Amino acid sequence: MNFIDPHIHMVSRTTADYEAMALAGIRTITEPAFWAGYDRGSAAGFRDYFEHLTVFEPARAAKFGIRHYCWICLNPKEAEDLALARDVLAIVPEFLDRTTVLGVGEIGLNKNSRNELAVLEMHLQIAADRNELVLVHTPHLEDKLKGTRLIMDAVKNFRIDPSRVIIDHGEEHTVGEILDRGFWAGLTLYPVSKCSPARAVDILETNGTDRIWLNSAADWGVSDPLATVKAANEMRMRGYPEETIRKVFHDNPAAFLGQSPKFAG
Amino acid sequence: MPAQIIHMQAAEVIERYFLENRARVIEIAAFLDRVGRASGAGAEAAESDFRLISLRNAVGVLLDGGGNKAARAQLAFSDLSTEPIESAAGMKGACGAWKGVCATATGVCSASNASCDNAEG
Repeated sequence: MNFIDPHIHMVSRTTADYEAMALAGIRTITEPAFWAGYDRGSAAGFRDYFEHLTVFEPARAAKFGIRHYCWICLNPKEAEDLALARDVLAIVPEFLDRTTVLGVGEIGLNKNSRNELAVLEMHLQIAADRNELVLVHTPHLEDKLKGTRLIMDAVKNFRIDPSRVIIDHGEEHTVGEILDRGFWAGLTLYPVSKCSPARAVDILETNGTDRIWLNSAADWGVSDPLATVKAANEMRMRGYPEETIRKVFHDNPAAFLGQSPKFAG
Repeated sequence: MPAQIIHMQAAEVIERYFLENRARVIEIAAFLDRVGRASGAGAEAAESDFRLISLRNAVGVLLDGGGNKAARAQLAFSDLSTEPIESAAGMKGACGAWKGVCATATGVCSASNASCDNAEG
């Protein structure tokens, strides 16, 4: 089976990870723009990062037969500085035009502050104006429930079709509301702070397998670029048929991402 | 809510997942013992730390007779306010529990010494 990992941060991973992912059957990945672990000092720093996402990573992935797409934005962890945000937002449309960029992401909230919300709204305006797909980061841990609700309200205010928005990093207390409001839901397989494979499959069992994708969000933290393959194995151990596993790890993300004409599988 | 998907019988679920969850319960017990053994400045305040209060609230969910335990345990750790905070300047990570639980806890609650360093991408 060909896997799609629709949320992974390969700029933080090694080339050996690409090799392991290819051997495990991961053929397509999408990489949202995110936080580097430190705050960048200027829009020029983001320009370099966006170049990396749109030029270097697709070429590095292609050497292993992996298709690499990305998403462009200023991530919510660097959204408190409104002046920097405005400078970065000014260069975002230039990169959204590139052939491997599928939309705006990962935008959202981190600590649920007023400035973060303002920068989220700036991104949503760009997405609405250009009819872009949107990939949303929801906050960590204790901030997730409140942030998820604030984000969904903000998207609604911009009259963006929720079927073109994935609300990622959903967990037991948020996935039901995300799906009920018409959005796609992402489950992230990440040690300690997000879902284990077993819990993610539990969420599928209680919420169904429609409009849901699973991803690793592997990055510079303790994380696992093969997490999607391990979750598929969890489903297999529980007795799921192969067509359901394929739906979750290939067909669902392909259906969402395929709303962009740039996505070729 | 869609019809629930069930592929395993209860006995199979217990057979497959019991040992790892037995270990988790003992880890929690050992963690609480570790806090209890700690001495020195702050040892007493630790007992009223907002994270321990949230943890005990979550453990209560495990012991009650209700279902939907994972989602309700998540709520025990969650910020239940609805308005954005004024500023996130200097804040990146999450603690794993909501300091606001102190406003609803009985007795003294300690929230001033938390280092919220979970800040991966």
